[in-house]
Order: sequence, then C-alpha cells, then structure tokens
Amino acid sequence: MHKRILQLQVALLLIITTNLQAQLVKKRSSQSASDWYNLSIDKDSVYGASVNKAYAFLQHRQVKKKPLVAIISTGVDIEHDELKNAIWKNPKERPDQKDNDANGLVDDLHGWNFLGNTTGAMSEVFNHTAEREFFRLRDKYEAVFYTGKKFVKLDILSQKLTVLPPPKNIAEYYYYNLELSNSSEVAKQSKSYHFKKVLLYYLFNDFDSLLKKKFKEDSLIKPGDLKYLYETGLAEEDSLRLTSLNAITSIFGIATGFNPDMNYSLFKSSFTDTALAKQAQNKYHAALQQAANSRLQNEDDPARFQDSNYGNNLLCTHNSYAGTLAAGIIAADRNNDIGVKGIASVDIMPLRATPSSGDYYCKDIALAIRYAVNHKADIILLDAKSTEVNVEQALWLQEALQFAAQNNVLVITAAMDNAINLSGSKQFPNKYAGKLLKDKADRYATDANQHLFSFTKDKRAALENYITVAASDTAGNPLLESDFSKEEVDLFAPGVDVYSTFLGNTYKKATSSLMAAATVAGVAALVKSYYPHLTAVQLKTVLLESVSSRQGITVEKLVQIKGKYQPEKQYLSFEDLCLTGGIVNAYQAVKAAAKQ
Amino acid sequence: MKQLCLMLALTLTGLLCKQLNAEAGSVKTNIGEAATMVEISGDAESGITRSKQLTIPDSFTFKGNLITFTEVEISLKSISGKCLFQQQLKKGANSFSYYQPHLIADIYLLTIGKTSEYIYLTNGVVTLTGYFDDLNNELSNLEFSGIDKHYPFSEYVTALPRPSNPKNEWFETLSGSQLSAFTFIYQREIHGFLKPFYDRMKPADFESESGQWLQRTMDSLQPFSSGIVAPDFSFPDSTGKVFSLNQFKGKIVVLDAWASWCNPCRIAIREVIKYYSEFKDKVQFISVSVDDDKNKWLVANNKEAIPWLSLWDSTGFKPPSDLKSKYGFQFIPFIAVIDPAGLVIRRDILDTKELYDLLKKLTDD
Repeated sequence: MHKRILQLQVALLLIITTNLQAQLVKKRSSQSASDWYNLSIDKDSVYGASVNKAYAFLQHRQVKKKPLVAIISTGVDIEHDELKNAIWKNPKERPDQKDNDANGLVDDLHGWNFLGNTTGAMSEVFNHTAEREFFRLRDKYEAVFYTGKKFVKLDILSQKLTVLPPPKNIAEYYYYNLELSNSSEVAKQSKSYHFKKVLLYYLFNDFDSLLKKKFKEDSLIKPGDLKYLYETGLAEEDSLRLTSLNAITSIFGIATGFNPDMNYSLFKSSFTDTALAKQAQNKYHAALQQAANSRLQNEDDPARFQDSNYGNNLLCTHNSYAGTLAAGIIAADRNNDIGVKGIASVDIMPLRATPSSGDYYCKDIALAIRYAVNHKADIILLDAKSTEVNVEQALWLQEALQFAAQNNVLVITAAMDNAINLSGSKQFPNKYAGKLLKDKADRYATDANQHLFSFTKDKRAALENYITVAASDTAGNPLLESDFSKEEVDLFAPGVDVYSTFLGNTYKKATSSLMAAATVAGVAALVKSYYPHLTAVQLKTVLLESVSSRQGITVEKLVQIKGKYQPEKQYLSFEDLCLTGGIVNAYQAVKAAAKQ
Repeated sequence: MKQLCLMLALTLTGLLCKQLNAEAGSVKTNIGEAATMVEISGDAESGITRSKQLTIPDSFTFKGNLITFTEVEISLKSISGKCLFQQQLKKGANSFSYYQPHLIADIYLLTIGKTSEYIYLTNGVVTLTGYFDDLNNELSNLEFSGIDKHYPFSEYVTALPRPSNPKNEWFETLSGSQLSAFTFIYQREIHGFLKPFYDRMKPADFESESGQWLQRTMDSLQPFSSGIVAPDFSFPDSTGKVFSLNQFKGKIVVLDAWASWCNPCRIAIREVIKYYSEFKDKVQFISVSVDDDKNKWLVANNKEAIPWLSLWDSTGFKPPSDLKSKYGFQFIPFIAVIDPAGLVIRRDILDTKELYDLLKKLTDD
C-alpha cells in the first residue's frame, strides 16, 4: 500500500510493499521479488540497469579501485550479512573512546550519526522547516497585521490596537505573513487565533458604538443592518478594519441562518462567549505542541554551524530502512548465493543525517557532506529533499555541495515522488548551488528565498557533479508518482518493486526514487572501480550519455498541480520527463568509459 | 492415540507394500513419539532390501530466530488463555525453541510485543524468522513456515463488511477444528451461519478449544435458531389498536424490526416496498419499530409510507426490550420469515433480494 506524501514533507518517499492491517502473518504474494536492476532489456526483457551484462563485458579487465560510497540517509544496518563486508573502516580510528584522527568526533569507525547524542540517545521525530521558520520569526511578526498603511498589533494589557514601526525587512515580513501562514500549520493557527482577537477588538471598540448611535435597540438589529458600518468609513484606508467587518457580518449572518431568532444582542453575547476564541486557542496550542518536537536528543544548536562536534557512532535504528535498502542495491554481496546481488564492490560509509519523518536540518546534511568529502568519498548518495528551507542555513548546504564539487566527488540525489513537474518548482537542495548570494539583503530581494530554487528565467551556474534520478519500472515506464522535469531530473533508473536488504538481516520489496538513485550510485561505483581516473564530472557525462533511450515513447503519468492530483492520468513523452530521455545502462556506461 | 497411530501405519503400509503382515510387527506405538513405520521392499532374487522410514508427526515444535531493536515478549497461548510458551526477546538477535509432545490442532494466539494474531497450528514444525519492529509493525519482516493450514483463514476472513452467509469454497478447504476455529475468528454468532460449520465437524474435533467454544455458542443460540416456534408478541399500531403475531397463523409472515434512527433499516423497507404488491395477498408483512420516541417513529413511519402493518414496541432497543430479547437479535434491521404454522423458517436476513427469492419460492406453490 502506498503512503502518500504531502508536498511539504521530507526528502524520502518510501513505499514498502506490506499489509494494511497490523498482523504477524502476511498474505502470500504470487509475485516473485528480485533484484531486477541487474537485468537488461535484450537478454531478460526488463528495463534493468544491465549490470550483469556489464560484468560480462568487464570479465577480462581488472578492478583498479574499491570506491568509497557515502550514503547520507536514515542510517544503514551494517550487521546485515549481505552488507557487513562492504562497510568502510576509518583507517585512523580505533574503538578506544578517543578521537584518534582529531576530526572532532570520537570512535567514528565506520561513519557517523548526526542525529543523536553522546549518551547514545537518538533523535527520531522531526518537525518541518516551515514550523522552524515560524519559531524563528514569531517574536518579530506574530500577531502583527497590516492595515494597508500601518503595521498594528493588539496590545495584551490595554487590549488596544497599537501602531508599530514598520519592519526593517519588509520582504521577510511578507514571507512570514503570506508564505509561512500557508506552509506552516502552527503559523496558520496563530494567524487565525490572533485574528479572532482582532475581531473582538473591532466589534466592541468600533462597530458597537457606531451601531448604538444609529439603532437604539440592540435586539432589533439584523445582519443586513451592518451594511451601515461600511458607509461609516474611516478617514484613511484600513484593510484590516474592512476584513474584520466582512468577517463579523459573515459570522452574524451564518449564526442567523442556523437560528432565525438570532439578533445582534444575542450575537454579541455568543461572540464574547469563549467558545469561538477558545476553539481557535485550542487549535493554536495543539499546533504549537506538535511543531515543537524536533531533534530533541541532540545537544548542539542547529542554528550555529560552528557547533559541529555532536552526534554518536550508532548508525542504525528501527527507522533506518531507507538507507539499508539503498545500501543493498549498491553493495550487497555478489559472491554469496543468498539474497540479492548488489551492483558493485565498494565500501559503504553510512552517515545518518536524514530523519525518517519531518524535514532535515541543513546543518546536519552540510556536515555529513563535508565528512564524506574529508574522508575521501568518491560518490555521495544524498537522501535529503524538501520544498522549504531557511535562507541562512541553506548557505551552509550550498557551500558543502560546492566543497564536494571542488574535491571531485560525485553527488547523486533522488527526485521526490509527489508527481510534480520540477521545472519552476521549489526543491532543495538542487544543482543551482553554483552561485551563492552572500549579501543578506540580496537574499530577500526577490520573493523571499526564491533565489535558492531553480528558475529558467534566471539561470545560475549549475553544479556539474550533481545528478538527480527518478524511478522507473521493469517495463521502462516511470513510477506514476515520481517527480519529473526536462531540466531538473537527469535520468531514470530501476526503482519500482526492487528487492533489497532490509533491517534484521531480512529482505524487502520497495518502490521509491531513492532506490533509483541508489541504482545510479551503484552503476557509478562500478564504472569508477574499473576506470578510477574518471573525474566526477566525466563520470556524470558517461552515465548520462549511455542511457537506454526511451525517446519517442509516450507514457502514463500522475501529475500534481498546485497541491491537487489531476484526476486523469496524463500522457507524456518520456523525453519531457528528464534531460536524457532514458534509463541508466551500466553496460553502455562501461563501454563508454573504456573509450575515455 | 495408540490405536490411531497403529491404524494409520497399517493403512499406509497396506498401500505401499505387499508384505502387510510382516510389517505390522515393526510399528512402534509409544505414546508421545512419532509413530514410525518401516516399509521394506525387496528384490526377491537378489535378496537386497531397501528400507524407507516414513514419519507421521505427532508432536509440535515452534522455533526460530528473530532480530528486534527493542525488548519484547513472544508468547503462544490457547483461546482460553492457557500459556504454552513464553520468552523474553532482547535487543538484537534471538533464537527460541518450544516443543510439545502433542498439540491439538486449533487456533492459538501468537503475541510478539504489542501485536497479536490467531494462527491455526497443527502438529509438525513451525518456524518463524526475520525482523520484528514493535514500534511500527508495518516495518516488521517476518517469515513463517509450517503453517499451511492457516493460510485459508487470512484469505477468507476479509476486512468488514464480510459476507453474512458462508461461501461454498470455504467448506472445500476447511475441515476438522479449522471449521470451529474459523467461526471463532469470523465473529458472526448467528445460529444459521454457524450451523453448516457445526454440522461438518466430527466428535473428535470438539476436543479443541474452538470446538468447545462453538458447542457452547450453538447451545446458547438454540432458542434463536430457525425451525423453532416464533415467539408471540403484541404491539399497537399508530391508532393504538393492538395486534399479535399469533392472529396471523395460517399465513406466511415477514417480521421486520427497525427504527427511525436506523438508516439501513429504512433503506431495506424502501427496497421491500418495491416488490411488496407481488406478495401482499399471500404474505403478511409486519414492521415493528424499536424506537424509544413514539413521535420519531410516527414521523418516520409517515415518511417511508409503510403500506403494511406497522407496530411499535415501546420497550425499545436497549434492555429490557421485548421483541429484541424474544428474538435474540443484536442489531437491526432484523428480518425473519415465519411459515403459516408459526415456525421461523429463516431469520437474520440482511439482503432484501434474498428475502424476495425466499418469498417467491414460498408463494409459487
């Protein structure tokens, strides 16, 4: 059964084939599970990554290097029989509770976990970026409304609307008031709650006295009579007053619809009755509580990048299934007769920096990338995606990606599976980390943090070591729910119903664009192991130019536009779904690499 | 037990080997051990004999390996709560093994951490391996072997709403205590539903706890089965005039218990109104409302424009309720058909098409 992911949630979409009901005995499946990414269309009639065929081509050649592949994800089960011989050993660290290699981390023998603390407790529950942004900005902007001319806020003590000096950063105010109050549940509830209090203010400090002057008797006033208040306009434009008047008229009207005996006197008393404001307050407090939970076990300050020595060396929790599945595709033992065959012979460096629910923190991901680069990773499989990001913290992540580019590391990442056309859509990180805006003012110059996302009108330098992958199935068709884009997705790869290593020394079938990205990482590692002289950029070129072409093929696709799934499946051309119009092909890739 | 083993041994030997009499003596009959039988086939001329051992499992073994992140308890209990096996699993890799000389084939409750499931088990070896996640059961990855007789349960016992009448294919697959185990899990305690299962069981099958449960349930439902005399009742119509069931002896009667607040009941009434005129000469329809509120009954009665006799049981739906306790129904609509002699010929009918077919059959004579 598929788990639907909301637009604003975390990097990973993982659809694990399993039962709906909580049961111990699972129904017998008639489908056979396989590591079909090893197969090819000509020999086996499936659009696998042609890995077996690549091995046949390479049989007379020598492996020249064992590539180091860092998996920045939710953790990896390094005890799994199929993976335990493919895990990186930090050459300079010994299990002696000392930081032997002086990198600030103690006993990072096989990788590192950024989501936990020194007592061994693990951080598992994360909130969303939009909520963190609310907490960051609420002191400045919470309960602040704009009348069209002035900025006002209800003073708690005097219960009057007081005028505030205009915010120093207007763009930031709009970011809070317009964007966050849509993308953050707690910001939305906060606005709703404070607006109710503004309504109360206007009703009893403005509208009521005006009405009393015109109508002698409260109990005779009907909703239609409030029209009078529209004519008693204030000297200057006040959109807040107008909005409040509209709201009160509407609420009064609705109340009358339910109760024909309703009148203004009754309305006032029911309005002051705590029910209306109390309901809004309860929702607000509930949202606050929900949003506050995040990364609680960590001991560092996520807003301070220099505070960088934190975490522990425990690489696996019960939420580490995504990383474990990915690791199996890349590196599961090919020489034993059990389970699945991974694509290449590599050392896996697990870096646990991505939560399995909620949004990642830029700091954790940036530090994980730097760790991988500093410890000589050849390839990074980066499982971290979101549609919202903090403008200042994004800089750390962009700099880390640049650092990887400068040090010849290939970064492979997955599209999300929200059926969104990524051209013109917000997604972070992305390949446009090439140009950095250091000036703060610059960052809010256009619509808030829009500069961080890809826009065709304003192309910034794209990183050349960066690949984005989406999932395809045995028939060579895209996963119905995968994101797609002619500019932002580079190629497709096997990622539907792929069988791989799972927690507790088991195996499981999974569907996700992360599985597809792992397939590409495996193929990249395979090429690198025979042709280590290829740079990250050359490796990307080889992979993209050697795809199995799906040009000219029309495929079915689910599409989500502005938060709504289109009811009918769309028919799109494969070449419009990604840059190369094709599916990764290890055999063609090693042949192309041999020519370089 | 001794005799059972011996008989089986002899039967198999009889099928496979000609030298029947010679083999009888080689059967072991100790209680608690697998009865072994040795088949000897011989090549008369060369004198070479080959022997093959066939084992009929007469014991139960449950074993396996489980990896878990949290400490959990694994246990196996009977329906009545008798604990067969219990073990604490620690974080990491665990193995367990349980042996019992003889297991009565039946469903048993397997519990691991917070998750439980009834599994049908028989003598033999059952293994369980894999990964268990107590915090999120959907992420568990468990493999069972040796529970072949359990699989029909998960295939037939689907999510609600379930068929209210048994399907023939079930009886092709289920036998012995599987039948009573099935009724225990299915949770439809209606005499008419349980009877085909009950009738197919053999005396030995009632040794099982689910068999005993079924027997008790059937006994308690006996007063509410078909073929018994329909209990009489007397209720007023909207004018206050009182009618009794017995005054309609000699006619086929359709009894329909409903209420204004029961939407499926009202839908059923509308469905029956569609074909009512076809039967109204030969069949007496009676709707009895179990509304607490007379006004609500009257409003609904008018709204639905019930064309046949419509009465009101003021004792309502909650105990002590007259009609409900007499006829032993737990939910409404409750529809029963009573023959001219006053016997309940079918009850707990939920499908108005089924009612139509039955009435057609009864009136076509």
